[in-house]
Amino acid sequence: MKKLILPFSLLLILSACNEQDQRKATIEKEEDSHKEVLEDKYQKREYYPIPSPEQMFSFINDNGIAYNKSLVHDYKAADNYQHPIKKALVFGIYTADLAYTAAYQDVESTVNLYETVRKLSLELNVEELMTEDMMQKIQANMENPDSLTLIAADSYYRAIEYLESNGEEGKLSLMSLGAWIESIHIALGALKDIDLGSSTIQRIAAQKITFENLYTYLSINRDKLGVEAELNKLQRIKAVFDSLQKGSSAKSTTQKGEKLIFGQGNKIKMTMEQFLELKSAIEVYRSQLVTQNK
Amino acid sequence: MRQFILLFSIVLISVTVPAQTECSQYHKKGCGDNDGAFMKYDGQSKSAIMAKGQTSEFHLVAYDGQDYRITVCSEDNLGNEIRFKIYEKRKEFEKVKAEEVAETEGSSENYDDDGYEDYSEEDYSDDSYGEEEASPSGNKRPQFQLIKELLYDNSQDAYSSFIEFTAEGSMSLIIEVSVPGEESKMKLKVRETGCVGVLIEHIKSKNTGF
Repeated sequence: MKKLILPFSLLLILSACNEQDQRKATIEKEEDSHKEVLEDKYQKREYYPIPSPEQMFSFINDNGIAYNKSLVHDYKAADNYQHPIKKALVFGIYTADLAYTAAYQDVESTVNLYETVRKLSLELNVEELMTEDMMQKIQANMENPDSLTLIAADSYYRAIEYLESNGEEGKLSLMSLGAWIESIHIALGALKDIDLGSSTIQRIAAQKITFENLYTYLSINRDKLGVEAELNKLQRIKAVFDSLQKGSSAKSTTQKGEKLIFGQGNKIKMTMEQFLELKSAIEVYRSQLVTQNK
Repeated sequence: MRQFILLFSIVLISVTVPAQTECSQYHKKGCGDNDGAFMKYDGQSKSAIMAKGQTSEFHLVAYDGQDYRITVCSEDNLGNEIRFKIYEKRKEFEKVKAEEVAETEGSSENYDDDGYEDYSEEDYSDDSYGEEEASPSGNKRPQFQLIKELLYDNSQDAYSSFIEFTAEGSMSLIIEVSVPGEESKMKLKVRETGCVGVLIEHIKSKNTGF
């Protein structure tokens, strides 16, 4: 019996040691994997914030471009979008419309659009974006157009921050795309006389830069919710922006008195043909976005 | 031990998640105490959690005829000398043979922007230029050289936390923010991290003189 106990004890000890080694290996593996997650989290990051729609609308408003309500998407159509990809895109479209109506002090449309955006945000699980408190603020600030614009802009920023903080880059990509397309659709549609030398046309041509950042952001997130398909649909718009050229500059920093100047006033050139092609490409794509069935 | 790791992970998650959420608004609280002229808040403003020794890039569109103020702020534990540089990013059009492209782009100044390269190399030159479109061999297609030109470095300006400038011509800018210090060797890196905010403000430029 004693002869049996000794090998059995040895076996037990060996087995315990082996189990301890395995546990140690597992712990080390888990710690390494945890370390990798942290290292990845704090590696060099790049951010591509897209200028918000209200910047475009403040600009065209300041430059005397008249309001055109027919350019805004019908808020009553919001209930018809069921697919999450469409919802995210249309959410972006309505946030831009909200910024437009607020910038031009169309209070009734602003209230309707605010309610629409709020409803869509709930459907997209963008919680706490549009609170009752915010709705009350809108009602209270109807006579104050600046406040209305600020509230509309704040909704946009809050949506972006919420989606980003919650790792919803797919929805954020689509929302940013929808908002940007709508702001260009409105700016192009609102122009009555096309003066290629005007600051408004220059601002539209400068969307080449914004589009490049947006396109890069979409490309980074191409594996997320429906982004790849939208990238493919953007090729005609991309071709127009690619064809716009900016004069190259030498050293781009100068000091004029106390003013620090970046750039040398080089404009992005746009011909009438390019303008019309851009307008057509935006309209075709925007029509696809607002079409109810995917 | 496993229970300890589980507990550790839960504690870590509960520490980092609120930190990230709180950080998203940091530029609104931490960066807005300049005495400069009134400017409008720009939606391209951003905050992020950064670690000591880390560098991040914020891509910004500056429009022609606008004055901008960029303020970079951070939590105290990251130190006083947050460095930021501003680059202008642009593509210069040139006709080169396809096999020369990688070399040309590689030589551009410290350019390691993956997303952008993906855009320019994979997509940019393939389909856009009508008559000059790529031949099947790809040898005559138009290409772009990526240029990243340094416009400002706050380490040459006593680590100023903000800069004001006028944009003459619309441009694509990169704000490269670096937190001083060695990259932490500790596993618990949350101790070495904090919020960094980049507040962008703008206003229409006023013409001066008669």
